Amino acid sequence: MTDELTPKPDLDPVLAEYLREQDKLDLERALPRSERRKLLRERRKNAERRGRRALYDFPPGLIKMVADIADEARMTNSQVAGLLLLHALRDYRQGKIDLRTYREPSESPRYDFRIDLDDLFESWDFNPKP
Amino acid sequence: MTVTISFANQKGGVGKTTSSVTLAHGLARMGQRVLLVDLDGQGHVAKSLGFEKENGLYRLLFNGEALESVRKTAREGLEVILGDKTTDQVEAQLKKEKNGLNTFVKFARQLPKVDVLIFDTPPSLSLLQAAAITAADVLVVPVVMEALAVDGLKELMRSLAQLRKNHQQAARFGTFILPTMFERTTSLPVQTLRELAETYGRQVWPPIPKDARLREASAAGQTIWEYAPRCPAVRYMMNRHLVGGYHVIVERLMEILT
Repeated sequence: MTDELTPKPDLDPVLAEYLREQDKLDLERALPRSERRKLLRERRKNAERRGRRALYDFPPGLIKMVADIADEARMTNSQVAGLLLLHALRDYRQGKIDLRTYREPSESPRYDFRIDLDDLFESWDFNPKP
Repeated sequence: MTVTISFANQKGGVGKTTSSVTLAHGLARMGQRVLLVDLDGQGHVAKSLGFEKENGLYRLLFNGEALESVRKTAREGLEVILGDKTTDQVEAQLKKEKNGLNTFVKFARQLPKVDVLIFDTPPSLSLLQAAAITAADVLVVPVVMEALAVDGLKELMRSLAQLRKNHQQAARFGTFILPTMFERTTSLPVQTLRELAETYGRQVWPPIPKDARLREASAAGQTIWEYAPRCPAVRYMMNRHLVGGYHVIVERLMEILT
């Protein structure tokens, strides 16, 4: 972050936030037209993506496995994860997956049940059948 | 203990009434018991809350009526003493008294024990405005970010300092500048806000953007919390960051009150 974007320490934090955002905007306005266009394009792209993005917590091994498959298939991680999820969702809707088999009571005040994904991941055999 | 908040600026049309009504209701919604007193002869507090103007302040001060008969419940937790053109007579009457300003300050201190007492003042450095400034624990100065605003504000700050010196009274919790009707479509308001921030630091609160819904709400006799609670005047967002609005100012006042 450049000096211009550093908030002054004795300002109201929300006012400092405003001035920081305004500084960013002013810097953007000072960019050459081509760079500004690029920036706008990126911003539009990010805005379009917003409703299509999700953040889930998964076991690291599971994430790596999806990445390995995507690498092998020369596709993006999102597309592989999406396809596999679609298969699993269809199975779930058709009654082939029953959450009750996996879940256990949760101590969280927000949720009643949990699934120990790490345990499940460790215990399942993902190797192809000989 | 009651905290007295006064909204003052000798300039008219800077958002004193809008801010005092909005913040009075905002604080009441946070569970504070609030009494809002209209010291402006225009009586716009009444209209903004859906009442007809009336001579509440005059009756209380000079007709010897009990507070119970002049105060009105505007919303849950928010009571008001309304004003009309007779408020100007209050001013004239107090001026005739030898120590009118002190009479009013004494009156203010005798008002019932609420959590917050708010004074909306007239747009002139009149006796009533001076009294409200003297009685204030928190002084809020709404300012429009326009040419000469900073200069005018410096002048006002000097007057305030002098006034307090004369009456040996300081706003216990400080004086705050509330940038109102803020527009960032041209560079001048932004530049003015920067100058204010550089001069007064933390005394400058985050800005309230210009928002037509504030006017519409007043015309409908509703507060902005009722009329358009998600509008920019309540939550001012920029690039998905909260950068101002009355919601933030209620937070600042709650920090002082609790």
